[in-house]
Amino acid sequence: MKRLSRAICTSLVSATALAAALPAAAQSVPNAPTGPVETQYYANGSYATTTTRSTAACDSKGNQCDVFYPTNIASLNTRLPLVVWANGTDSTPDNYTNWLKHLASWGFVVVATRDKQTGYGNTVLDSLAYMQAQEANPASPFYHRIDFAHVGAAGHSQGASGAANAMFHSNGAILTTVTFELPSQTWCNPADNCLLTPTLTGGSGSIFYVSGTADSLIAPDTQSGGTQLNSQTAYYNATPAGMLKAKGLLKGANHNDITGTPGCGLLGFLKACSNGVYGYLGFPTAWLAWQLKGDATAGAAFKSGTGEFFTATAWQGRVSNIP
Amino acid sequence: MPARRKMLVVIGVVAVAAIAALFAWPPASRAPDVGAVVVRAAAPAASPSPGPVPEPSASASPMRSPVETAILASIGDPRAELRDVTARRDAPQIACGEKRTSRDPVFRRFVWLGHLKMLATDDGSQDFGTIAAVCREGQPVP
Repeated sequence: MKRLSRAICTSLVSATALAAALPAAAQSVPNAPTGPVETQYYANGSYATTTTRSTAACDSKGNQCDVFYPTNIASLNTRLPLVVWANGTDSTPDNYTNWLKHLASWGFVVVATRDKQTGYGNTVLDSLAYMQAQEANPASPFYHRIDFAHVGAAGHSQGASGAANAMFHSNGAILTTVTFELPSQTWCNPADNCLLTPTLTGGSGSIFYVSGTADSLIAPDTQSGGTQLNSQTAYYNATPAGMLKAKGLLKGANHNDITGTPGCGLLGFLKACSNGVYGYLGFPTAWLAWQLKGDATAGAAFKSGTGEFFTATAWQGRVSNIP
Repeated sequence: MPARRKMLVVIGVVAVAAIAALFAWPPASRAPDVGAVVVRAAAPAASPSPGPVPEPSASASPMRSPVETAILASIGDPRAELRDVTARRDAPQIACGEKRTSRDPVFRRFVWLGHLKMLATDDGSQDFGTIAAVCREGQPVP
C-alpha cells in the first residue's frame, strides 16, 4: 500500500513538473496563424509594456482610464499611434489585458475607459480627449508622444458599437475601427445604445468586422431577412462602398473569447482554456498596423479575394473591398 | 445478562421509532425545488392587438425576482415593465418573457442572457425566432 501511494505521488509530481516545463507554444493552440502577416502580428511586438491608470476621471461619467503603452515611450524618436478601446457590457479593461498589452507591444498607445456601458461611444471620445490633454501636459509621460493624426478605435460586443460610434462621431479624428462581436441590432438595449443604420450608412473611415463562428446567437455571419442589421454580413453590406472594409469570423470562437488569456493553466484545471484570444491577435493587429502605422504588407493581406487573410485556415466568412 | 439485553432491545426499539418518525413527519412548509421555473405576471396582461397600449405606469410590482431586477436595470427605463418572465431551469442565467418601455409601449417578447448582460427584443423577424430557441431547456448556452 505504501509502495502504491509512493508511486501515485511520484506520477503526480512528474506530471506537474512536465506541465510546468512545457513552453506555451508546445501546448495545444487553437487557430494558430498560417501565413507570414498573421504569424508576425500573432506574436507579441518588440516593446515591453507598461500599464497606468489615470488618477482622476477621464470621461464624463466619472470613470478612470487605463493606458497601455511601450515602457520606453519617453525615449522613442517618433510619436505613437493611439487606439481607443471600448469594453463590452459590464466589463472593464481588466477583462482584455492580454489583447491590450499585445497592441501596446506593437507600439500603440491604448487608452481604455473603465466605463462598463460604452455603446454610445461618448465615453470613448472622452478618453480620446483625455489623451489629448495628456499629450499637452509637460508632466505627463505622454507629453508630445502621441500621433493624433493616426487614431483608431476597437471594442468588444457593446463596445464594438461604442468604438464604431466613436469613430463616426469623431469628425474624422478616428480613422479606423476594429469591431469584435458587434451584436445584431436586435440585441440593442436600448436601441440607440447601438450602431444605428443611419450612423453607419452616413459614415466615413475604415472598419474591420471580426466575429466568431460560435457566436451565432449574438453576432452571426448571416441572417434570414428583416430590415435590421442582424448579422456581420448585413453590417458589412450597409457600410458605404467608399469606406475600406473587411469582415471575417474566427473558427470556433465564442462571444467572449477576446477576453481570454493564452494557455489553459496548469493541466487545464486552474483557469478555463480560451480559444479566440489566440486567433484574434494576428489579423486585427495587422489591420491596425496597416491603417495607423502604414504597414503596406499588412494591408495587402486584406486584398479582396487574394490577400493572405483569404487563405488563413482559422478564418471563414471573409470578404473585403480592399483593392 | 437478561436485564442488559432487555435494555438494549428497548433502546433499539426507541431508535427505530425515532428514525421512522423523522421520515413520516410532514415538513411545516415545502420549499420550492432548486432551479424550478418561476413564472410571474409582473403587470396586467396586454391587449392581444398589436397596437400601442396605454402608457405604462410606474407602479410596477414591487415583488421582483433578482433576474427581473437585473433585466430592468439593463433597460434603464424606470417605466419599463415585464411580464411572464421565465428562467430556464437548466440555465437560470437565461430568461425569457415580455417587456414594454416608455419608448416602445407594446409588450414584446425578449430573451435575456444574464451572464452576458444582453437583451434581445422581438423585431418580428425569423432571426428572433432562432434566438428565442435558446429559452428551451437543453439548448446550447451561448
